[in-house]
Amino acid sequence: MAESHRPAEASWFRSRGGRRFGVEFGAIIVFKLVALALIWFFCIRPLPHADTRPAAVADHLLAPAHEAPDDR
Amino acid sequence: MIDETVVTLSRLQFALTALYHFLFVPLTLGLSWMLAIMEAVYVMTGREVWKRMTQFWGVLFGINFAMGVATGVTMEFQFGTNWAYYSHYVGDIFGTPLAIEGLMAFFLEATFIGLFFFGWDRLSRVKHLVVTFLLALGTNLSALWILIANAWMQNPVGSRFNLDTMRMEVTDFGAVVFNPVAQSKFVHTVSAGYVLGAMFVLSISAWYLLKGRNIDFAKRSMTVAASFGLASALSVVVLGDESGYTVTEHQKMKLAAIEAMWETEPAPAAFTAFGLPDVAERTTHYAIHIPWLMGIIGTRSLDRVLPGIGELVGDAEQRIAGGMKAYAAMQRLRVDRNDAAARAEFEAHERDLGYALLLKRSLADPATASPDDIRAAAASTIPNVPVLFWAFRIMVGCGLWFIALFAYSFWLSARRELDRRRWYLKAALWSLPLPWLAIELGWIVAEYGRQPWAIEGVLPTALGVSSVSVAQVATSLAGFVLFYSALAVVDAVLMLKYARKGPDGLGMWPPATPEPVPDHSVVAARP
Repeated sequence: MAESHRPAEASWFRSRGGRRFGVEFGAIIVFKLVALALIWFFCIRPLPHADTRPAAVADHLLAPAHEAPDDR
Repeated sequence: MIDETVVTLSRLQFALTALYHFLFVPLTLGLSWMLAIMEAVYVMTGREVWKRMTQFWGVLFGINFAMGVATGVTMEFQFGTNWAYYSHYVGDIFGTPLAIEGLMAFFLEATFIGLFFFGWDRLSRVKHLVVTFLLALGTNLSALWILIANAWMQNPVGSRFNLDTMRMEVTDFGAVVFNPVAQSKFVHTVSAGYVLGAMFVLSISAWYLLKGRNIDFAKRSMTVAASFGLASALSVVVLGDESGYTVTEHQKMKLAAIEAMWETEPAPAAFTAFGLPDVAERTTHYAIHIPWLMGIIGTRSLDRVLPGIGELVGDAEQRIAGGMKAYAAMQRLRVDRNDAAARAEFEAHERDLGYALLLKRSLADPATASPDDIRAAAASTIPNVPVLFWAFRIMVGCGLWFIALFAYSFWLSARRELDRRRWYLKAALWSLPLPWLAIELGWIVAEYGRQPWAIEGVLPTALGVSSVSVAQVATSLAGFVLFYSALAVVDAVLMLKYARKGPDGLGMWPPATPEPVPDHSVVAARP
């Protein structure tokens, strides 16, 4: 049982190859975060915001009513 | 009027991102448990090879995780950009499991993946094993909450339409969480992920054996993959049957389309093993039937009838007529919210409101619908029968192949003959893409089969789309395609690079100092 409480032996992740993997792992995630931010900034942010007030949604779902109080 | 091009492009964009995202998710689901199993053996036996196996497969797991993480974020972008009315209409319900997934499961997963990679020298063996189990648990909990959200789209329980806010709102969160569709979908989906994880390890290990590299390492990996894969492949079939049964209960049209069951048949219905569905003629050419099978699978009885497409279209016509009454009552309530008769009329036909909204695809005002319009709207509730028919059968065929392959692998493993048959090793290697194919086809059956609904019986897909232009959707679609194509190339390059290097090329195995042979004499000497 005492065996299982000892720290694990020197890890491959501390070796040269392991450190290189760690750098690649981190670089992928940073690259993706930057790419997603750029997509949001250039493709998503300029899009018009949908009007989702209840009255506007009613107009979207229903045929326009002639005497809707919210439309006055 | 609804711009069908915007609807089509928005659907295409969501489908592409979802299918792409789900290339990574199931491998994470499956590999995480395989890592936990391998590390548990390491902790129990102290054999270095199991630790190195955990670390090597952990590297490939890490690449997959890094490439896959956040690819689902773009779908959440789309809820706001392309599906704003959908988000408003059902966001009160749909958003909750998504938020819980982010707060609970994803943080758990993201925290422990760091400890998994960089905690080997800092944590005791047992603590590191706990980290690996928590990583697997977080991954699977993540899938649970996403599938609860998705299952609500298939079977919208625990909610009600609010006339004042013009959206669906939660009435019973417990019903949403314990939705029977969510439970069966979750276990079926994660089991499919486990099959993929097992196939991934089996195939790459088979390649090492074919190349004569890492023999001991590969054989042990294949042993774990064979047993885990066999259990998972059997689970997929059993739990897929349960998932199919919930479809019978809640999505009869989807089931009829999967079976190309054009008309109602006497119970118990036959299963069509092969055929060429003809939508125009509403018949299936060259059909090969297996008597009784569909009735037994679909209803678990010999006397319950499964309705055919023709009967279900007739039901839809009646529900459209009922929905038009609810729609007309809503119009009157919009003018006078205190109109008690209109409110009573609405509540009487509320469950059919979504069916009246199907008419909005071709008419500005459903109240003006003619009998021909109603018939056309009812006919639009039929999904694409040939696509569903074949997607389902290819998926099932793959599932049966997985059972056969893993059962044979298990048998060879028990006889210690995994490296003796080159044809088997080649079959294992070339089976690598099949779980991905089966999983993607499964999603196509689930989501394409739900059409024309975004929320089954509640909100037609076309009405969930935002008021955006074709150019705007096309621009964001192009952005996503470029982004995901770049990721796919990087992913393929990295996966191939590390898999080709293998444990020997990465300096993981064999160890610099030979592994001591465990002394079993103490155990053997015990009385």
